[in-house]
Amino acid sequence: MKKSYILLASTFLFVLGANCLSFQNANAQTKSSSGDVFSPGVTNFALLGEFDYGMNITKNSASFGAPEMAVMPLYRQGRFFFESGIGASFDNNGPALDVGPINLSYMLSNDWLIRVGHFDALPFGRYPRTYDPGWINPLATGPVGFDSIGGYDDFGFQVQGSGFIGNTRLRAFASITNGPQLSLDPGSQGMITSASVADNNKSKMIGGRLSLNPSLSSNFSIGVSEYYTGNVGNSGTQYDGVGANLLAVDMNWAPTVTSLDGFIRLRGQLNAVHVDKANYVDGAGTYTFKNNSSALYGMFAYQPSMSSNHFLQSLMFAFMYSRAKTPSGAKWDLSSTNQYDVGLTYWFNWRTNLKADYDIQENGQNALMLSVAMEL
Amino acid sequence: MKNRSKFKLFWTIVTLFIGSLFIFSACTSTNKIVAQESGAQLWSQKCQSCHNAPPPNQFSPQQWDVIIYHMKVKANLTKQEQEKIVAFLKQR
Repeated sequence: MKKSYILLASTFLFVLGANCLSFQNANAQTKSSSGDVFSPGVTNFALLGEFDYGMNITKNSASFGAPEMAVMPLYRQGRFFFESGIGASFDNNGPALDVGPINLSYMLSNDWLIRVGHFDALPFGRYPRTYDPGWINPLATGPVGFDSIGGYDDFGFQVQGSGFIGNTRLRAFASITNGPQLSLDPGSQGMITSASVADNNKSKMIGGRLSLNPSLSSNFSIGVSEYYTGNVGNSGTQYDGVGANLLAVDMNWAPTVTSLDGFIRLRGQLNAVHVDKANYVDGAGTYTFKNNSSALYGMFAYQPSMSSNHFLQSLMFAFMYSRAKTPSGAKWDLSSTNQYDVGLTYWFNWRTNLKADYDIQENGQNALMLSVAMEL
Repeated sequence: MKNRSKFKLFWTIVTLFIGSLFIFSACTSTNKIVAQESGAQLWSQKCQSCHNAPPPNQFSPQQWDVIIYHMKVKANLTKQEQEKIVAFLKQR
């Protein structure tokens, strides 16, 4: 295993070295016309953020939710770029603070960079990393299962870059991180959860995402992600050596359709998580299962942004189907395995919206969700 | 048996990973189609694929200089796209 890491590290250095050399040549050619955007003299700061607030109405209850906000300080100095996030909300114990991401990027070349620190979600597909914020998601809720089967935070090292082969664009993320941990908590035994600062074993997770944009004139893209770790269990316990493999396939297409006087958004993603068979103990005794779980969603949205009617221009219609499949033998509490959402969004401007979303769940616990979201 | 399949899986990932990196090292960083597109076209295409495109007057030129890096990290923009889009956004 150690040899593998050495080989991996050597390859990183070799390829990145090659890219740095190509950068020097490219940069020498472009400097005279456009200036060097990596100049150490350039220092800039920006503050972004988001706000989200919602209300849930079911057959038996109506509840105002907890407002959530986050601020994201961004800072660039020459080739370095720093980003962080600080979130504030409320839970049952009162106000709650959440920190992350916190990471530092270094531009190796025009199109390649490395990052170290905390990543708020690994590039495992594109949900929730890209589409979860309330001012981006056209629905008031996310797909079922994506909070437990995917969306893992992590700590470590990442390299990413993009380039063209002919008229096809390739984008790649690769990372070495602490990796997720095996949950032994009642109700989620056998599930894997986001990494913590102090890793529970020596094994690291490696993997990444490769995406293709086959036609540059459209913004259709398809991506494949895979991660592997040889151990998600605590060292020195019976769970030492329980490995995990994560796979995701995602697609996104957002064309302008002139015949519809607007644009559509088509998104989809399938996450599959495999954790080796293990024995778990709860109040009822010992039980064994192999965690093969999956979650998928498909979403369609349409906004008649070119309509002559100003009110219609600001409306977005959306539909989402999502499904989570839990492993047989697991005692998890996923509230639903099939979920349908129909939503209507009114955009006050490009970054502020009011959403009404009717959420239909397999177990009959349907809900009407209202929310307002803003990018700060 | 379990260790053997893990070993195979691990090497499959390593091989795919190294293969991907070599493919990328052969990639070009510029493209004729992108070169022909204006900053406004790229701004509309790239932003709109995930979220509404922000109007240029929403942030100052200094802020755009940082925000474009945020998007470079988030969406893997190439330098060619980054420069064209930020030039358009700074024009206001």
